[in-house]
Amino acid sequence: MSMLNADLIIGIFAWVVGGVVFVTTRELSPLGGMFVNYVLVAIFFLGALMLLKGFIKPEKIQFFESAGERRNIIIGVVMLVVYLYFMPKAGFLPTSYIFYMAFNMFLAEAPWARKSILQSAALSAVVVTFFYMVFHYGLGVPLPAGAWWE
Amino acid sequence: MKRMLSIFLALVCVMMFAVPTLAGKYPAKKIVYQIPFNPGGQSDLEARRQQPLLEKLLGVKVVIEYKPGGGGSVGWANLVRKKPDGYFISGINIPHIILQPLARGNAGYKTEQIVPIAFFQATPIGLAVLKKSPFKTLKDFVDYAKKNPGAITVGGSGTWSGHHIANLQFQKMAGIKLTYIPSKGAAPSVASFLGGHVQALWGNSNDLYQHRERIRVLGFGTEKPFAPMPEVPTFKSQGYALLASIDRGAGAPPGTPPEIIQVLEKAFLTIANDPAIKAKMLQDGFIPIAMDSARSKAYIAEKIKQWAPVVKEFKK
Amino acid sequence: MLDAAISGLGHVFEFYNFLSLFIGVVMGILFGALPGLTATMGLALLVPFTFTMSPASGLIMLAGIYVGSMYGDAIPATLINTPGTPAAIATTFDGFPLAQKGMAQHALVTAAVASSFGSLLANIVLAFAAPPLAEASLKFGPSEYFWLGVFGLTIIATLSSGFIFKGLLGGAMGLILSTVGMSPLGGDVRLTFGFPELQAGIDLIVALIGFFCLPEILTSIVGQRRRSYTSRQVNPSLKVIGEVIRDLFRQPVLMLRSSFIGTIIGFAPGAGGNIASMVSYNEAVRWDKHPEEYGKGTIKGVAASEAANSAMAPGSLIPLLTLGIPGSPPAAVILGALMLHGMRPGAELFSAYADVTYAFIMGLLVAAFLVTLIGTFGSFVFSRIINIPARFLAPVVVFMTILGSYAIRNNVLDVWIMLVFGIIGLVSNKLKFHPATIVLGLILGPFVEEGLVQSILAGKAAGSVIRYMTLQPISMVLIAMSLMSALWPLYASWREKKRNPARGAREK
Repeated sequence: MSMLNADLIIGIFAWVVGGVVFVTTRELSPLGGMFVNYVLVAIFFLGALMLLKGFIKPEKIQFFESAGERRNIIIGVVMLVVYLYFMPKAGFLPTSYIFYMAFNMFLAEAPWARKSILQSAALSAVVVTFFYMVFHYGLGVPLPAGAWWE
Repeated sequence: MKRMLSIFLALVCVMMFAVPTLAGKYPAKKIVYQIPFNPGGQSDLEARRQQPLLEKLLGVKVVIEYKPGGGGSVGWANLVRKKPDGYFISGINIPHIILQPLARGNAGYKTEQIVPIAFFQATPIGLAVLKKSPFKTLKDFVDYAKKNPGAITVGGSGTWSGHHIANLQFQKMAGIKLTYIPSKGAAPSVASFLGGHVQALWGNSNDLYQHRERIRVLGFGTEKPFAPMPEVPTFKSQGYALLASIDRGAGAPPGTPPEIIQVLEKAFLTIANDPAIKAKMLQDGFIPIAMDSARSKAYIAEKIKQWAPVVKEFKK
Repeated sequence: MLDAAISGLGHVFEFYNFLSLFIGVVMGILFGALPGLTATMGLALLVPFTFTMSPASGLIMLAGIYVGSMYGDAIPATLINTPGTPAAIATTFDGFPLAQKGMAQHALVTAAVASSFGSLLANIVLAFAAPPLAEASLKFGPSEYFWLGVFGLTIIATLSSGFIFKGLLGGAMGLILSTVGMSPLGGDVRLTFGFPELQAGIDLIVALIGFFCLPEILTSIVGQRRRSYTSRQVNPSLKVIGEVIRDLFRQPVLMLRSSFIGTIIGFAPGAGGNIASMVSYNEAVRWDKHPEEYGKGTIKGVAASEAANSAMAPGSLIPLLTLGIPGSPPAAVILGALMLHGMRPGAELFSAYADVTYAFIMGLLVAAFLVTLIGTFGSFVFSRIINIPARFLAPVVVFMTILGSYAIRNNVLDVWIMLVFGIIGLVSNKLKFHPATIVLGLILGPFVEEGLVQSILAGKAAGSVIRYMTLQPISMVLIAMSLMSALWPLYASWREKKRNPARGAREK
């Protein structure tokens, strides 16, 4: 895996964030905008320092330790995104059962082995039901029922 | 097997949703009462007081849900997107529901979308100074402000809040200029005032009542003198037609049928007219009111007419 | 007053009241321990129940919840690097490394003992010196808050290892994040990008879960498939308890200093305890003879953080009970409960209602002892949690992060924010950019902004902004402290170079 220039990335990120904030906050009232402007000055200044350091004395890092790590993290994040996307639509309970089971299988050594599937399904049923009961009935938290079924 | 199961599931679903509509009687299932503020705040306490009585009057469960944020706007944006079937209602506050859409470009809802059910509590806003302040009366205060424009600092909670709009209106009526210093909320503004960091305070009646030993209230924005502190004159009696208060009520999503509103209105008004509840409110420094849906609508319309020009003028 | 205190103690030990207190403490620990459930929520949920109780038992129960939650937040901070409440951020700095070394029980016992100590000390202050301290707390005005915030930001100098400007940049990013949502002072809506829900701003706990919890799981367990959270299994034993208590009592200065910092920051109304633990941790590192031990797993770090955040709780009740000004969100709920029972904070609370008030204060005190008891014995159970293989534990934790960030405001957008922060945290960890600085900025942003804007307004009315902001006694002290704190690392590295020229600048 190639080495990345951490300081350069941080500097660029700071300038991008600063730029977006700058563009979207030009219409604020004096009281609401004052502090934003002060902080923006700090961000651009410090971001420039990071860029400078990136050119002069960069800190090189290796982002992922292995290709396997990269693959695993990306799959994990995608699972979370899909879960969150469907949760308000299909409802908390069904999506959670599926997500929990899938995530548990994903972490197993042999995800598609019969044992892993059964184990994951059982754990999903127990854990999700338990937390649903506690939060929904015990704490009165209105968990999404699902827009599709309404 | 699979097919049987799905048919069964479908049947269950249909039954669950169909039964209430078939029965045609409202209410037939639990009602969600949303509080758009944090648990433990005054709106929550009021709702908690009403909850058991509402359950008794309506004969169904009433559950309180919280959706705090944005000074209430997140909850109200949620309210106007709900189904208008009477099973989701929310606490509403004036001036919040009027000033937020007026002052912010996009508050997530419009004032007209919320159908008011009833208003049950008023919190008059008053102007106060510390006991040791040289301003003995409202006249002293106005005279000094006329000679020294901008020199008096007045605290209050936030911009485009009841306090801020009262300040704007009062400045205009008295022809003075004050330096309004907003705080994050009522509690910090009171602390800052008691510590002498501002010279005067726009405060809620319950806060002013609580600290009555340390402060002098120069006027209340009420029609009649504020009952728990009858010695304080109103602004009106001193020549300024300033009526300022924060009113708590309940509202329903746009398009809720009038029959349903009527049922809810009756329940809320019965509670609001309960002598025990009234006594409790007065004891805490609030004024109990019982404003029905039609009058609430008219009240909101009147306030919009009053405030829209003030907001416009300040914004430009 | 002593009579009232003793009779208050008597109330606490009535069977029914003691039971309420015990239940309160256990619930508090649970609410503190689960990220997404906060002391504020626990208190608010129980307030309706206290309707039906006598004022004394109701308030005693609330006392238990408040104290319990201030300890409970150390459990996830230690075990899964996620502070249960914002007040426990600094607990993760040493608690998690300790757990990594198989010393989770050490960390948990330390947290329990230090929490009790801090809360004990602050309670004594509350019981005997509340009225004068409350008056002092009123002296905090806009410029004082501004400088307190700036002082808090100087902690970045300690937090950022290596290039200090990187840490400062993180702080600035946090400050910008804190401006998202409705601006309370300007009344306008900032940086919501068209999402009405974003008017609520970014919740601290959501950010904490995102920045602290998710990256850890995604990198080590999902990414690198580590089999366990720690490199060594923890083996709880009674011996550890004695060892830890002995070690802590050898550090009286650390314990006292941390507790006082917590009490003082607690009673400045509105400052909140979230920074108490960070300030205390910072001072612990500064004055220690072996600053290099911190961050790598020392019970001193855990003690500094936990003593301070537990001392903050009674501290924040000082302005509440005497003036009716809540110093923290949980204190605001307690105010509501007091009002419901017809008790108005102020002088009459200590005269007409002295009985109930002292029962409440003594409840806080006894709760501190209960925390030691439950905490030390509970450490056998809690610390074993991380012995569960990661592949079974991680799904539960991930599920809880999602549920927790949703439950905080019942908002799905918060879960998305948590996820985005989790990814940012993952990337920034890889880039050797510690997200703690971002969180610090997020915490302090509102204070700095409110203080600054109000100071400028008031300063203009008074004639000179600069004079208003600097020429006041407390402000001058805070400015001096900030300068000292900001320049300290320079001094420390210079001292180190002089003493040990071969080793050069210390790493941290």
